[in-house]
Amino acid sequence: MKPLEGYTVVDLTTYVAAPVCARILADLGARVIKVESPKGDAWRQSGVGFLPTRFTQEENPIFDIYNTGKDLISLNLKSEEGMKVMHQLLEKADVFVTNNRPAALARLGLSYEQLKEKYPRLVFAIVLGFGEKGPDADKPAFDTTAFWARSGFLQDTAVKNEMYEPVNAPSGVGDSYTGTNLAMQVLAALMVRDRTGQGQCVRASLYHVGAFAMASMTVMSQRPFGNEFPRTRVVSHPFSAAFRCKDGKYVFLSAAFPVVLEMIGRPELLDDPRFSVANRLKYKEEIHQIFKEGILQLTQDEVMDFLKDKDTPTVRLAHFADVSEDEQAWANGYVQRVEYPTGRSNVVPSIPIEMDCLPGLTTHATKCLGHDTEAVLQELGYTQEEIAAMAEAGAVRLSVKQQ
Amino acid sequence: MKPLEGMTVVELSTFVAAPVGARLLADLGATVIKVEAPKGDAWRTAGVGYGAHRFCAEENPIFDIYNTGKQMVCLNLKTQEGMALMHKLLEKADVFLTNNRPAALQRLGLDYETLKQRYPRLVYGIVLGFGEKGPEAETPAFDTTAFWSRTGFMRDMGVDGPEYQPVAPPSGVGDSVAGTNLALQITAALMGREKTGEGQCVRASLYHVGAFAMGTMTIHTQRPFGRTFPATRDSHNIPGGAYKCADGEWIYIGLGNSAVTIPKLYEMIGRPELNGDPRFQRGKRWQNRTEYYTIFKEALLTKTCAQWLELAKELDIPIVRMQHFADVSEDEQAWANGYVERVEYPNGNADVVPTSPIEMDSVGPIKTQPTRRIGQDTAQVLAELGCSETEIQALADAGAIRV
Repeated sequence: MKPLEGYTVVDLTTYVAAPVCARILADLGARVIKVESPKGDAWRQSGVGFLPTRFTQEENPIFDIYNTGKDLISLNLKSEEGMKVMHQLLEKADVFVTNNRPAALARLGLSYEQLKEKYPRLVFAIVLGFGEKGPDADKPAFDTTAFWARSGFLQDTAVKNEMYEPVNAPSGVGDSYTGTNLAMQVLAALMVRDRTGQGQCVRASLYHVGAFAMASMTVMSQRPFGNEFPRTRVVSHPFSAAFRCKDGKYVFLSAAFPVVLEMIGRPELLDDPRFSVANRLKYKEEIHQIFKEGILQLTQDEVMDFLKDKDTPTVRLAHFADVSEDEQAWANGYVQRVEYPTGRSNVVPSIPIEMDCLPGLTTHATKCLGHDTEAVLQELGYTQEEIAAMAEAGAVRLSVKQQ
Repeated sequence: MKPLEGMTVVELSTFVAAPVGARLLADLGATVIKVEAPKGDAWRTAGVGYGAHRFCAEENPIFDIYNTGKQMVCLNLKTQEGMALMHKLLEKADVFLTNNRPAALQRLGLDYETLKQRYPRLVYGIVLGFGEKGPEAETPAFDTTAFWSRTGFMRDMGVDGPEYQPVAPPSGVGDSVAGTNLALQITAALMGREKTGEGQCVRASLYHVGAFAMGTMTIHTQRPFGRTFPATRDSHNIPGGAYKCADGEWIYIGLGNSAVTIPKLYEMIGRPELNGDPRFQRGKRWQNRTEYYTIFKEALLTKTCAQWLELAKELDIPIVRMQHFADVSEDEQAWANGYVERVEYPNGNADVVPTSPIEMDSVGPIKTQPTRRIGQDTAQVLAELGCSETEIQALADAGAIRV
């Protein structure tokens, strides 16, 4: 039995963070109805911007990983009839998830205050950028800006050297965390609602979640603790850092001092008084230099082979592209292959929910805009003629195939 | 009313990921009993490496952010009495949460299969490194290795060029994501248990959570899509990205819906004619990316960060100043929304820490508490289990507990 069986979620979301939240709720067993505008979620176009050759309306894996398992309907909320359907959905819903900015929601009559009056049992879940208060409350936000840049990550995890550049920002990573956080809060709010009958508002702000994610650095970079960022490659611990190998590949080394010395053929240094346990942090630059030169004489394979039976956390520094071919990822079902009607198939990471009661969660092939509009409207009691008239008037959009 | 009121969680965990999961459950209202070995959670001494002069047993903010709101009980699980007390706790528990490796848990008789027989209602939550199967099921893991290195992030988000360096790994960020994911699954399992009466095992693996977090990159770096990383600055998300300003500060431009954002950016830098420039039409930008990036790089150098932020506000463009980690604790926006707070320590010091990223009406603001020492709550918790003062003293003398 799935934990959220019987619950209904209305998803008015775009991009990544809020869609991830609703996808998780779908995986947990809720029925999720995603409402898209007639243009569709802008994220549908994102892949096209990156790589126009392969992403299409039928094959859009970066859309699918955040939207699988949802019913997709398209309503024009600027039309009276479209908005009427929205409220018919909300009447039956347990949860409303959105990433629209508060001002836009208020204009639509879909702010928390407005919906609470009508649907007191509804759990209202919102992704915010910089929070509801303060000078940047209305500022538009993406995870690149609010989660990564504002939290300090991009400037401060780049290695400091003469040609310093901040780290390139990844796509959707902070969103994914924020969406997970929001889903957790939705579950907690449903537990309360099932006992008290009262819904509530739950919030996940990209900046807040980012600041909490960086919590260790937020604390130790403050003046009293005196750790300055960005740092040079010689961080606080030379035994836990990335090193380049002879073949140009990298390892993230995490191993005890004597083990590394043996590996690089310098066991005599263990007796060097500079490198006694008490002195090691003091001489970390020297140690780092010795490690750097030693590891540069070994290939990545040689390092990994040597450390194989030493029970160390050392790993190869992978490229993003390696994950889809990683034996360990396949053995655990962390990636899966999705077949598309184009006849091609793509490897996507699977949802990181590993509960005994939910075996075999899979990502499905892309559903086009408006894929389920007709079916959902029929459930609400609309006749074929009414649906056709609404589509004609532009209040709803039916699936491409029906047009 | 708090969502998890009345629930009891027994935590046997160290470092960051699993403790974050348990902290969130405490924030949601559960009673969390953290069981530490006589030496304590190794994370208690992590701070010492970063700021030896300030971190101490009674002022340990980087421990507190992951462990606030818990009762600290110290048991020696290698003694028979210590293990008997562990089982007394488990008898009353709703959730057991751990990051110990499966083999170690088996040796202790605290693996899922064993505990399921004795406590069928128990929800068992475990943080894994690389998963339960595959060649690296038993490899020790940290977020630096399993979340950041193995997923490709560290190798691929460094800016490519002659001075290429992998990203310097942050501390605890991937752990926070995994811990949140675990708390989400535990909450879902508790909801499921209300219907079925049965517990289950839920798993959050650092590698799986990381691979999903990087989902977009995992997909579009695969051969059919052909995007390659690491990327040079001029080939990554331009014209979005990091730019240096006239005053040496950096800003980050988020693109979002580029069809909307890009014309605004041209206006911001005073180059509206770029709208009609055939070199920079959609589909042409890639081929002319170096020129395109250079236009922005040079333009952004002509005004200060504050001037750009002012213009961005007028034009409603998602641009932020790239902060340092240290800036978050002084950021007006963070304070206005309660994303940071000041914790007073008994030694007279006060430190600023990020707050719990749970923003639920029914939970309200959550205060981080000052450090609780190893075994601070042992006596009280044992008394609640029915141990007399004499028994507690005898257990302490025998080394089975620490009070």
